[in-house]
Amino acid sequence: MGQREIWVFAEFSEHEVAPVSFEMLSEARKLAKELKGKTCVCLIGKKDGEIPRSLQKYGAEKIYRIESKNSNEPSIDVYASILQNLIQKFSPFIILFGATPSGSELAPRIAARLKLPCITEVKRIGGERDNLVIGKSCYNEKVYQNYNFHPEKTVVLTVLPGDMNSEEADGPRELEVVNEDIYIERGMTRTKTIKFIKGDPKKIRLEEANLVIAGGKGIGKDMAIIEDLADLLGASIGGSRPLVDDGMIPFERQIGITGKSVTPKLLMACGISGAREFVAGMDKAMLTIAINRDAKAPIFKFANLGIVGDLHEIIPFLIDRIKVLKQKCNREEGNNSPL
Amino acid sequence: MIPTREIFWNVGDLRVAIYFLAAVPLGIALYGILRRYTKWRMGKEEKRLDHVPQRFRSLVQSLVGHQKILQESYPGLMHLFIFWGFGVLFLGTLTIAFQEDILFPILGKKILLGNFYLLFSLLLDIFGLFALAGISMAIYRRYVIRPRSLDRRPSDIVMLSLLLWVVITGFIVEGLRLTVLEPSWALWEPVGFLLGRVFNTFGIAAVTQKGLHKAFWWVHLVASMGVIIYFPFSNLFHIISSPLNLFFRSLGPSGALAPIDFQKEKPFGVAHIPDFTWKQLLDLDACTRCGRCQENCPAYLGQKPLNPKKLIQDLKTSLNLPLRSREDLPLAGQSISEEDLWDCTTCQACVESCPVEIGHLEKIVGLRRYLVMEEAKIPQEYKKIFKNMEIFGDPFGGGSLTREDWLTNVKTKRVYQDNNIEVLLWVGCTGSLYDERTKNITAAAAKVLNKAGINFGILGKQELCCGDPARRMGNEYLFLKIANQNITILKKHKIKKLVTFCPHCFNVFRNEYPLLGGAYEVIHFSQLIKILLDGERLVVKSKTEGFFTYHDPCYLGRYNKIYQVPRDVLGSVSASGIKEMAYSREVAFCCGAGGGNLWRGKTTGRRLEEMRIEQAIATKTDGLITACPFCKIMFESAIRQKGLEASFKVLDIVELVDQVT
Amino acid sequence: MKIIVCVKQVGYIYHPIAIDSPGGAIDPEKIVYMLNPYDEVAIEEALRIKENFGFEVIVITAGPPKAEAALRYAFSFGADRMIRIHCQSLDAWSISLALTAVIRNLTYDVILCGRKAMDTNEGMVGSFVAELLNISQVSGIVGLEIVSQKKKVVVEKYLGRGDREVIECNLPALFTVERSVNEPRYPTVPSRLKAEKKGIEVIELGTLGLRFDEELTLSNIRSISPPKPKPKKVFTPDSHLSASDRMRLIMSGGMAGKKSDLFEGPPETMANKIAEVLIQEKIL
Repeated sequence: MGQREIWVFAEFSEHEVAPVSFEMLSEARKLAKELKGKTCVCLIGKKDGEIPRSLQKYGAEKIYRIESKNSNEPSIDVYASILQNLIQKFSPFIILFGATPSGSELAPRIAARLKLPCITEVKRIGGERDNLVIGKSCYNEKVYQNYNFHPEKTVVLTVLPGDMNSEEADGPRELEVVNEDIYIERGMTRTKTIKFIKGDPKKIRLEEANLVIAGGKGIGKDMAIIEDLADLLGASIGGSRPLVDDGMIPFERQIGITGKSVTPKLLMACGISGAREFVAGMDKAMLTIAINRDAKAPIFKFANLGIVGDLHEIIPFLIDRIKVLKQKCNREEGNNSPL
Repeated sequence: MIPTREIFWNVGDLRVAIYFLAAVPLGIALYGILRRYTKWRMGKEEKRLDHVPQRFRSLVQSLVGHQKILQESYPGLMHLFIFWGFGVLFLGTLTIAFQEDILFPILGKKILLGNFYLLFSLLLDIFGLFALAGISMAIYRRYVIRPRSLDRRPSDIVMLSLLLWVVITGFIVEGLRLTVLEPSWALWEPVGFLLGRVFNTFGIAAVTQKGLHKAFWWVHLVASMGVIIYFPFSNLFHIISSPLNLFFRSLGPSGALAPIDFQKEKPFGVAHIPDFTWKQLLDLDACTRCGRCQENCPAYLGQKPLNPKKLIQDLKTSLNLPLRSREDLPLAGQSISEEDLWDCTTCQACVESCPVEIGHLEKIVGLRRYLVMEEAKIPQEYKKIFKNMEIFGDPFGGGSLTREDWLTNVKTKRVYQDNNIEVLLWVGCTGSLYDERTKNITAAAAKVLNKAGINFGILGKQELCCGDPARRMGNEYLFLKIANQNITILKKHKIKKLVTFCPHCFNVFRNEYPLLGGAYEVIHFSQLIKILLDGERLVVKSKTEGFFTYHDPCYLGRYNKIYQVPRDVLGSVSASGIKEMAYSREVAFCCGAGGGNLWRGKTTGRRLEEMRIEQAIATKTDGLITACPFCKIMFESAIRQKGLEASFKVLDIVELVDQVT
Repeated sequence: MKIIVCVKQVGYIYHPIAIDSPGGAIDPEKIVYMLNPYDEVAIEEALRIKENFGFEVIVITAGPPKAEAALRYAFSFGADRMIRIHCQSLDAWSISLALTAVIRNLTYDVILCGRKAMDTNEGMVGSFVAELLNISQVSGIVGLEIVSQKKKVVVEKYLGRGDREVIECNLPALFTVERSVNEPRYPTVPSRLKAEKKGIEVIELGTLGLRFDEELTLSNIRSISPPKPKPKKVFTPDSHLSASDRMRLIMSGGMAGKKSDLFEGPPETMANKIAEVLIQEKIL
């Protein structure tokens, strides 16, 4: 087998490498150190396209650049066949997928086809002598499942975006590039992508929203302030019962015990006191930021970040700051070329 | 000359014809009554002939005493006048008929003679005046005052006019007779006498007077026949249906619902009119559209679409539909809107205020049962509540072990560890799983029991929901499942006595579990406190300085008639006593949580707890005491909405007692 | 047309602390059992298709006798047959082998599963079964439509943040459903009673003649343990905070309820603090 290779399947979001790929790369690098292996990336696309510099920045040592012949459609069926070929040929020690909609489907499919051990949404990966030690959470994050085994075949793992830290690699690295052509048999694709539909944060169901700005009594009559913030962040708007009672948001946007239960990545509670009836609908949010004038408001017991202050003063500054940061980002982005 | 009256004077020649004619309206009336009877018979069987003497007694009491009707003074007096006025007049007519058709032809005797006749005449005149006054008051109320509780139909004015005209023509006939005959005892018929005087001033010739007498006599007869013909088809039919309804009323605990036999009944709940029992259909005919239910219904007063009077009348319309159109769409969702059905908080203000004992609530629950169990058409938010009860054993989804969270620093026995206890403290879901505000009540209850040295225990993690929410929301299937589980657990631990501070648990255990095989001695915590205070097992260290008002929880008050006991307790623990709200005891305004509404999402109209808390704040007291954890949750929420946490307290009576003992 | 729905009875831990020590077992009093919510959505979708097109719906589960409660609940939505493969709680690969073995003997056009089970949280069985059966699959769908005389299906695959990919699929196919596909019905009581009476076809695992590879079943789970706090979710503490405060902030990124230190100050500073956190959490 040679040196153990830790593979990361690079995912793209809107023509850019998705952050989860950098998180996996950082993790792969750590593992490579522990297991004396090599950090590799699988890149599927055109052979003559540019390789994102960011991959090297986060520690890639080897890139497998794959172009699929006779198939241009980027469907999961195609990727599954490509990876099946690749893994059979190169037998990496581990292959990491992001636990994204694509990765979560690809990983078990490959594992089933090639009869490989597969563990999804892992929280911890480590090497212990010759064994792989893996931890994953189950039962709503209340129980931890620990694996400890010596793998004979490639181990397929998926990692949730945000679970691992992304760290830039130190020092310059040499990048080895391997180009592969894979031929896909016609019959391997049984699905056809017809189109993509972009979700409008204003229209999607509150339970699906990734980012939620919620308003409460403290908003007063001025919805514009959180609407602007939501627009900037691409977030959906929700609220507590007083906002619904006053007719400022429809009942479908009420969060709480009789309203919706939301599980967004970010919930910003603006001017919400945090009564039990509201909290029951949002205590599973991953990150909660609360702004309220009253330091004793119960919402602060459920917030990761609590700001005591007047939202009518703070949010305008926040909006400005975000606008400035976005401008800066846009200028910088010109330097990275999409694949 | 002996005072008497020649019956059929001046009209005697038509006597035979009159009897023939009388048969027609009687026949029509009988037909009308029979038609209504067949409508009632469309309903399912129900046994209501138990305790006949008691039923009869209570009917007579209601008819004579008019207690419920007199709860409103104007209509009460008005009805008293009409009832006794026409009642006595009718008895008078019967007496005359008895004499003319039975006594005299067979025995040759007359009773309308001498002093008896004089008294007879005077009484009839006086009660005739009552009848006149009553009908006039009725017409004035319905057409001039036009209160919100009354609506107007053509049949109303027709019947009222007929009755008015019957009385007026009766007096006119009397007056004309007296002016013509001029008997010496005319003063014993004062109204007729006065009228006669009036006629005389017009200088009408005696011959004309006789002619007029005959004419008016006919008008009087026709009008009376009109009343007889028309009464089965108008509001007046209630003179048959309402007493029947009073006779057949439920003698069981107020609001107790009948369980369903899931092996035999079909459908579950009420889809169409024939799915009601015959007694429930009789209810629909007993309704006089007085509107008291509507004016006492918190949902209606809160500008929600639910209107108990309209509900009964809409059901009556459906009852009157011809047979074939009934086969299709079910009532719930069609003639009765679903939202109306869910708005009901099951507070029984409608039932309490109804003078003819209509059971509005059992019909609403019957329709709900159909919606929930046969069609599964329930408000979205209720699905989770039902699933929580099945999976977790409580509507909040807190889970069994969580029920013991409140026990952190209070000494309490768990029955599954030691079941040697005097009484079981049934904590209930709200008391253990909702939040700190209700868990405080539980802790206070345990402390009070400890102070009094009562050997009590709790089921703790083995407790399940009493099932009341499921039953009131119409999910009888879920209720039976849970109730049977509870009965098994209570049996296992040999529990015979329960005390609880939650009126819903109290009500269902006391009044409804016995029908399922679970019979226990059940008392409400306020009753226990009174016993303990009276027996000096609990001693008030220093009365509270606070000045409070008291809110009667619906399931303690109207359902179980427990009004005075909590007041007595509050009298013992409060230095300044309590101030009553404008609507208290039997007419207390519901907090809005019942019937599943604690979990209801967006509704139209006002929030009932806010309306009630405004009534409480209007007493200018320091706060409100209640005896139900649901009420406490609702009122605390209202106070928070209004931002009055600092100035108006909401406490359960158990908490207050714990503070002062 | 036939639809097979694979369901699972899952355990839900309602208490905040399920295991007291590493290597300990889950306290049975802290678990309640229910039909996997994702599977409930799947069976609801199957029933909607049945109500439109009149297909036959078969519900199948692999588990111990107590899993029959969840199976009957799923059946009460209006399905036609119930099958239980009798076995203990097994890992994803073994379950998939068992399900595949039984499904192979049935005729079907569409197989629906929940995207993952709420307890084991793996999301693999659906894809495993589809690969073992060698049929087309799409996982994580939020919309499904049967088109062109039932020979093809068009699904919407959820891509996050409301984005969807519309995919056309040949039949037979397997789809795993996201929770937002539909709002599952509350079954009527007559159908619950019917489900209580109806017989379940039980198949013994042994009769399927399967071989379970330890490499793939990964039955060598070391142990279950209480959750280990993630070192993530640390807010770069303000440098003007004391060392102990900073330590406290770092340690508080754990599982036992969120706690925040409150920040108060001029609005602009507060706004910057929020922006900082958003950047840290990769929201900006």
